[in-house]
Amino acid sequence: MSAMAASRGRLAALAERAGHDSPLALARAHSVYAAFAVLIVIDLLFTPGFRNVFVIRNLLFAAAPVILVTLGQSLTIGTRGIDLSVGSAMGLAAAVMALALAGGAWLAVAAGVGAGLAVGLINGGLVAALDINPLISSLALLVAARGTAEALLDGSRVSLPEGGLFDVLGIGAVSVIPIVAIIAVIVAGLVAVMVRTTVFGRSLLFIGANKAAAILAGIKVRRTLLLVYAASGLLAGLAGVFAAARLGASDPNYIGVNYELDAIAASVIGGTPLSGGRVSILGGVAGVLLLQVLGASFIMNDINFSYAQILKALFIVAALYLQRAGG
Amino acid sequence: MSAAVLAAPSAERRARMIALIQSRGAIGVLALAAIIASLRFPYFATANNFENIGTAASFLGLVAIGQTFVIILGGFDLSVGSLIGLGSVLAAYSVPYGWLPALLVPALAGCGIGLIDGLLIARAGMAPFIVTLAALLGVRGLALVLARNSMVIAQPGIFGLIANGQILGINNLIWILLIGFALAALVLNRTRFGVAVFAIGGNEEAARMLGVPVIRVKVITYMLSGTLAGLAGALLGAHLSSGLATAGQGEELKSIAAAVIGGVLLTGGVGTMAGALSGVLLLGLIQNVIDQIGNLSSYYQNLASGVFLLLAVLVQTVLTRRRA
Repeated sequence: MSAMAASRGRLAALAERAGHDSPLALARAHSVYAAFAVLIVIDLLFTPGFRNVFVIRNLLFAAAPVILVTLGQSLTIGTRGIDLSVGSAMGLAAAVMALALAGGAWLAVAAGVGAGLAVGLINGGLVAALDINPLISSLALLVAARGTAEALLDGSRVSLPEGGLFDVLGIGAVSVIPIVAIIAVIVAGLVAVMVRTTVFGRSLLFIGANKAAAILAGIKVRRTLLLVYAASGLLAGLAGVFAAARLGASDPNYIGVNYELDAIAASVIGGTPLSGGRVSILGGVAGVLLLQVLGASFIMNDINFSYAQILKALFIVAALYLQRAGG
Repeated sequence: MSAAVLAAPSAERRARMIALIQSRGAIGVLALAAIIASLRFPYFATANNFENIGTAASFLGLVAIGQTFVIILGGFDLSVGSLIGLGSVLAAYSVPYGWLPALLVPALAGCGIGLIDGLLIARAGMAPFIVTLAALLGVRGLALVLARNSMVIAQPGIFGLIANGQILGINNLIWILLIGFALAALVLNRTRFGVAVFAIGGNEEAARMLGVPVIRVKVITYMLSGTLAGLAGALLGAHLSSGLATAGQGEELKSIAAAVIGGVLLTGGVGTMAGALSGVLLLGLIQNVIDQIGNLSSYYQNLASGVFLLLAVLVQTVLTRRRA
């Protein structure tokens, strides 16, 4: 009886300790939300026109595809990998979608998403089956997928038909919130639940924390890695469809360019360490919004947009420094 | 027993053979590709065309030298492409004060960025990938701010001659490329610094225990890479007689690709300058050949480069596993 009480007391003490992390760990875990909140307050006070609903709607339209690729990126980083191909996979998805327009909007969208998935499967195959460094496999795909997208459309922009599905994705909104943003948030929720509760989610974190131990523990490492990169490609495909619908055209030279960098930056700022084993989906979404609002604030204050880029770089270094200090 | 005795040297010979293919394979592929291209395209094997390939490859080449040092060290430098842009803008601003400042200012700026990268990586223990990614973004932003998002027109003069003149009938940029690689090979293979780079890339902990000044060597390597990238930007500015803030985008990835194609292993500790130069020239050759196939869209160049990189990595992976 008393032994049970003692063990319960010990459990309570443990739980309490877990709840009261060091201030530095707290700062690390919540810095992205704090920074986002501060930025919003500053913008509401000082940035002319920031309260305008059109501004918010445009921001969310721009954020939706970045959120999708950041989700995939966070998963690959969680396995201690990286996916540089997501921007080019977006471009390829948009290009394939443009070619499949004859079959109707739904088929075209499916073909685009399928193209993204194909890039992810190739990448996952190279990483999982052949043990190739994900940095270099996805770098090769970054170059090759962009080249394929440009070759498919001969480098020119193809307009998407107006009306129907493309209008729903490109301009559709429920009051202020674009439909694509709602979809992105739902997908983010699903991914977050998956990481927390499923065997697949636990496995990918295990692999990121210690691959050798994961193999010894009987985790299906190859299959998990293949699925993670396939998911990243699939999400990039969807992001490419969203971006093209917003633009009203498929442009192989424009869609998705440098998105991989934004996705990595948002993941890291959001608290997903490059060393693997931990993923913060909510943080990643906040990271995307932070970077988007940051860019918009500079433009709306008539400050050279390039300063936003410099500030972005400083944010990344600061986030990284906090992670390092937290262990 | 005699079978085992006989087998040992042959296994050793095979391992040596594979190592040779890994380090020198790219040179063979380059020679083969050049022979096929000259048989297939009459214009390919002309002095004029070789000059085009060499000149175009020189900027990537300088960057690839630094990148090779960094990869052998066990790191990455993603900031080099942006440094080319910054370098060309700074060169354009400095050229009114003479050709020397126009070369030195960009080189020093690159050196400074490399110093910051190196300190964050070596001293603060941050991942090279993300530190130099931040530098990629920040330096590009800085270049755009300095150029006020537009082109800065430089007055060439002697400065232009550095990049467009000739010595002994060969374009200066090609001389710079060849001398650069020769010097780099000397430094890598014949100096204490080069040995330290290999040692750290092979096993950092062991290198530290053997008394290699790990932090100092790392910082110097990133400074070297930054300096070369800034210099490449200055030369590009001289070549185009303008500073272009957006110049050099994607060169960081191309330089990594060139090194990997040339047999520099991403795991660190292994690589040669001759291999990296072959990788640079192979990428240039692919572009050149695709330009000559008149009806082939130039967009296939990216596709071909990407597939080529994949093949190179696949071969490297298979060879490494055979060797083990």
